[in-house]
Amino acid sequence: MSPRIPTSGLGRDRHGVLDARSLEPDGVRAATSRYDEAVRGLGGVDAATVELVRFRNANHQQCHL
Amino acid sequence: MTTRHGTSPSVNAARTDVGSAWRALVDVEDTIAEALDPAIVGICGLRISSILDNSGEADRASASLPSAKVAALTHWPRASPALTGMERACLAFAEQFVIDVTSVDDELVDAVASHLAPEVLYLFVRWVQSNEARQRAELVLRHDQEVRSSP
Repeated sequence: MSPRIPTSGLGRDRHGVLDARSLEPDGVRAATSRYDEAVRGLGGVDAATVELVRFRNANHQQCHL
Repeated sequence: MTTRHGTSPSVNAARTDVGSAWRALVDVEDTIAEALDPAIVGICGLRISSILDNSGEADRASASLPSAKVAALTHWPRASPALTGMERACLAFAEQFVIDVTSVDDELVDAVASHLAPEVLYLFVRWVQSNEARQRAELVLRHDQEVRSSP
């Protein structure tokens, strides 16, 4: 599991590949880079957090979805 | 840290790296939101908080919206004159994105695209993504704190 948002700007679907970076204002691109850097600093997610996410999602599926 | 989303979940000193990532995520969301219609941000944020059972966020979002729109969301997806076609299209997209992103289809995207320019549509999707991630992170970090501080 990874909390990382895939923010490379490259998207692929059955229509082909889109480089969405051209659609991003400079401020958004800069904020995204800072986020990517901060997540890289985490170096992964510990097992306890993975279990907490699993527990939380299970609750949602039973009660809200 | 206090933002317009409220006070951040407490992160103990050993996990300041998590706090940094969370604050960076808040910054991404807020930066994107500046390029979007505040009404869209408000109602979609409220709907996402309802799906995720994030009551604190729901209270804050409700307070920032006209009461007619909040009331209309209570009965969503029933039609309401308080919600515009653009708002309904964005709500439907955001809702499906959060419940099951793999089920977002061309029809949902086309409905939003009929109201938003391509570059705004792209930013809207990025905003929904970051809002959902931020709200889920808040919930997990709070829960994490409760578990770690319990006797």
